[in-house]
Amino acid sequence: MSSLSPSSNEALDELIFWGASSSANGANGDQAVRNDPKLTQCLRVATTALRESIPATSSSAKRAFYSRFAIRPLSCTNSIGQSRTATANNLQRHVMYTRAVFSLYADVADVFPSPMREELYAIAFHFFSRKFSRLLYAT
Amino acid sequence: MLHAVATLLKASDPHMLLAMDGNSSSSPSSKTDTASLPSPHRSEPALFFWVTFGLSFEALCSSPPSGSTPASTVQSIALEAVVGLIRPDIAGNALKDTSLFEEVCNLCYRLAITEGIEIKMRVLEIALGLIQVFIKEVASTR
Repeated sequence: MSSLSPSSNEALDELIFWGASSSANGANGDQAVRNDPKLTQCLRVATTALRESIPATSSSAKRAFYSRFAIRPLSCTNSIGQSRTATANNLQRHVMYTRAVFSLYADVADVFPSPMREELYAIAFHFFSRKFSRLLYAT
Repeated sequence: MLHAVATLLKASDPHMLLAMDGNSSSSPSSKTDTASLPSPHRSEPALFFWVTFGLSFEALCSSPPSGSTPASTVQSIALEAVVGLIRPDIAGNALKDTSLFEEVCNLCYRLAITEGIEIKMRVLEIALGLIQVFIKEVASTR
């Protein structure tokens, strides 16, 4: 699966923000929380940070490019013959921070009342599946 | 200095909480001093809130110094300090000011898009802190 183009990223972004912050017309939703502009803004920041931490959905082409090398076998060498053993540390570090990012996003979701919480978890699962599919493709 | 402030605020150290208000206490663990700790329902920010917040914000906005410390470390420390400063018992009502809130959000956006995953994690911590503040506000106004 190839990484998304910037335009499709924007479309995905819109869909997610629609789900995360603008579904204020839900009949059983907590209207006060959904309609608060500052909470909406904070949710956008949190969702952007989560999305950008996943190379498959990142808007940064450079980061998506380098992420491909980070999950290659550790014994490979680059074009000028340097060993890439340092990627072991990079990968371990990346996994640690990715777990922390998802954990923090779950904490963000837990702050919200029930109807919104499920929507935010759905967003997290979506991004997790994107990351997982990327790893499967790479191996 | 910011690292020390950030670490102590994260740990809710009573000495640091009092120091942010310009108070110094030799034994803040006693009952009377614990009672004098800043309230989470305060209206005005702590005495040194703006100074510390300004230093953190400056470190995040300006280009990193060409010293031995990597730029990501400086940013991480500054963001950690911001996480500690947005607590309601330090910031008071300062973050309810729309212009300041917008500035923080814009900075977070920029960092989330351009910086590494360690910085993104700190940005999420800030977002979580802000959400916790504003959701209480929404709940109290209902």
